[in-house]
Amino acid sequence: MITLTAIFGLLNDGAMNIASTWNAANMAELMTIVGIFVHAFFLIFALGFPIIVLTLESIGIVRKDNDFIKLARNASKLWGITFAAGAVTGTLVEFGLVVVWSGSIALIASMAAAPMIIELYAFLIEIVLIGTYLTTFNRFKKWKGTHVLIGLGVLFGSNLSAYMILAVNSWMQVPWGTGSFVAQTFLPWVPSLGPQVINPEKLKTLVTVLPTIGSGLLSSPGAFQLFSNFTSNPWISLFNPEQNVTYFHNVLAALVITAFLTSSYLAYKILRGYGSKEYNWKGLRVSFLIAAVASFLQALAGDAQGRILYTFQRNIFNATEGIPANGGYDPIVSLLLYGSPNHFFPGSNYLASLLPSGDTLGQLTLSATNTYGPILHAIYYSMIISGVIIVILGVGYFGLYSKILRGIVQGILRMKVETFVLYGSFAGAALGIIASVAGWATREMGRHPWTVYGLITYNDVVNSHAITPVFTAAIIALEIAILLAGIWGIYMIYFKKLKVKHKGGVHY
Amino acid sequence: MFTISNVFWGIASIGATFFLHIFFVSLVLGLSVIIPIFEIIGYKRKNEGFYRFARRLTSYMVRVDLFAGVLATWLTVFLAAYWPSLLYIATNILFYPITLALAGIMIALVSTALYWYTWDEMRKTTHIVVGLFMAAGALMVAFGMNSILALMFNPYGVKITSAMGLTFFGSNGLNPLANPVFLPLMLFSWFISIALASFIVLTFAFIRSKNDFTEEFQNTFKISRLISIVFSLLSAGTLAWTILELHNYSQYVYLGMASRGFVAISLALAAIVAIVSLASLSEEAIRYSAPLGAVSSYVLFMFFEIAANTARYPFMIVINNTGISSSVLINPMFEIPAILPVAGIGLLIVMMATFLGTLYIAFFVFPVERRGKIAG
Repeated sequence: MITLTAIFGLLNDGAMNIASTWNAANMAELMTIVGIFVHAFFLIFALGFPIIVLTLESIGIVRKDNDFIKLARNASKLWGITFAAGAVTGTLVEFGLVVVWSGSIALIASMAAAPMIIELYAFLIEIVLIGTYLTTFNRFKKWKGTHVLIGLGVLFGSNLSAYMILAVNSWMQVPWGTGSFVAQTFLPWVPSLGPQVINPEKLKTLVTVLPTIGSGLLSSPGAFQLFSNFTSNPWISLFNPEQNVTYFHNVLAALVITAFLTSSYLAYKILRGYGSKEYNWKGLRVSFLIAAVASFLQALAGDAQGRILYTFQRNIFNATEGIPANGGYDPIVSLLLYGSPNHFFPGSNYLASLLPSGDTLGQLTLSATNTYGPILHAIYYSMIISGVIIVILGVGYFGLYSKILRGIVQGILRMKVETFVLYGSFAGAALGIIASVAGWATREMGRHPWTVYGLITYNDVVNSHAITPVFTAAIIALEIAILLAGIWGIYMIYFKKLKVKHKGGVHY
Repeated sequence: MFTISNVFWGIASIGATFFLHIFFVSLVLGLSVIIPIFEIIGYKRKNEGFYRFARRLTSYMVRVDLFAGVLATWLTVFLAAYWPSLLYIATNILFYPITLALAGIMIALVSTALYWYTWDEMRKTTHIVVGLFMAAGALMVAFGMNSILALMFNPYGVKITSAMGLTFFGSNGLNPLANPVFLPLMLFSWFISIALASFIVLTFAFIRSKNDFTEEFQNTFKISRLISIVFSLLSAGTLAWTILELHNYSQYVYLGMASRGFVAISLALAAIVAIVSLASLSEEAIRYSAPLGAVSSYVLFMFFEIAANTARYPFMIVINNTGISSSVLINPMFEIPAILPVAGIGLLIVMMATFLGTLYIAFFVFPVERRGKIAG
């Protein structure tokens, strides 16, 4: 009892210490980060897995090879369970957005309205058609392509959904349609953000009133009337140049991870001797090929994402590339951006010199960037290095087909290409996850202290309710429980009965 | 600037979504409770028939659950887009009840997915525990969400302040779950949902027991009948309690209902549901009472929702004899393009047809046991 009392006392003291130094926004952010990463774990399957399943099924239909159909069908079970978990955690994120970050309701009511409403429709298409797809597997005896078409409908729904949600996130990074408002008000290094379709007077009122009375602004319908005729173009957030790049970057990331995870599962079975080797290799060759092609395309998408960052969020670019405060040279980045290795990149001191006097939010932005700078740099480069290794793995895969590459792999690594592919599957999956987590951490952490870059801060939109450490811990525990439940479900379906099925001679 | 377009399309979008959503969620809530009951009985009696029946019902529920879930997201986003202040006021004052509902959604959906996918993949006792989580999660969702409706009828826990010529709606520190309208309203929604689902299950069990004279269907049929009787009677009782509390604490809504005869009709419908459930005790009457019970319990639920919510008109939140109207709370920031709600309603019809087609395939063309055999 004494020990328990002491433990609870320590926990309580710890919680009180956190409570005294952290505000509601910090607590809310912590639970949001965990929630989004749990959601992302399942989401990547909803986004990447349809391509793998449909590819396997299509090959099976074209080649009249039942092994590929079986592979597709077994994979589709995972698609189903992760989709359900993704829908749950998506609901969590959506509700969490309006409950915990209740000021963001103003965002949904304005610039995010069009993408979020379209996202609802995409979600419906996805959820109905995935049910149809799973229910009708092997049901179309004559027109097998019909089943693939239904799957393509799901693929369309999941991609439209991702595109719309990323449109909202992209608008939070680059608030397109605000013209030169951000540059003139808070962050002078930001270029013009598209046509000025948002009423600057209303926007100024919003960014002035929100920090004063917080999200409580929305509790007064009369006060909210101040923002009538806020925008003349409700579609503008769909035309953000950041959006297309972010979309392709994310879809490819999801594809790389899920394709490598599929390869890992099949590689595990081959290494442990579960099932027919030929059957497992058939699937592995396809999934690794998808991972390899996606990783090559991802290199291009990553480059485009970096250019967007350089153009619109210079302070974050400096932090991620590790540009010193007084500026400096970065030959590789310079070569990529300017075609010459000698470009001088001005640092945060230069950006600070641009700030007009009294621009406290501008100073706060640079202060946050400097604080997070070393972490951002480390995380960003863990993503880059992981990405480079993944591309090397992708190249190595073609050693299965090319004598030259086979020789290179065997010469350097002293192993067969087949062995390289088997173990490379695990490495690719782990590195893909690291790169993806690092990429999103950089994106979200780099935006501090802004919810919408250059317009609205975290503190402006958090719910005015006391978000206590105990409440935060309870929500995080629930989020982690969902993650564990999902992983447990995957284990039950895919791993637990491997030996039993193996003895029964069943391919799975 | 108030826009008529936003008010019209907001009501149309939320109305269409709400009435579809409430049908599916009540089915899900009811089935989430009924299915583990069958599994537990199967475990206690060592009767495989109950397991098979519970599995069939789960197969139905998982499909309905996903559809109901997506409609819940529709409601949230439509509310945020069309009535942002209302959603803000609700989430702020009802922060903890809504968070509880949110936790319920997470628990229910994850445990439902696990429950379905791990059938025969784990120990039966563990599977039953997962089923109990599924039931608890579903009940928690209705528990939290009914606090919103209770608040709209009786703004318990709401503090209204004025500053700079503006009116602000905040929390007065009282626990919104202590709202006297909340408990009976919440219990009514629990019980009528279970009654509705049990009548549908009873109809299904009865049809199967006539075609298939196995002990399995005879047993499941008797349990379904017992559940439908118990929860129909409980529904009638809690409906009367709800109306009494509306009379005591929300005179505007009560008079709005009573003056149109809606109170009498609601109570009469509840009586019909209860009588129909008792009629199923007769072997001869059951062929009519089971489907009639399903229809009448759904009509009762829908009718009461429509009657109570239209009695608030023109207010979204009733405060004594006045309130806050929908046009005051409507999104003033810009006119949401009409193409968005029009496309949404069209898509809802198309997807609803696809969904029903899938259910038909799943249950009549290839029921779960046949699919199992085909898959090998």
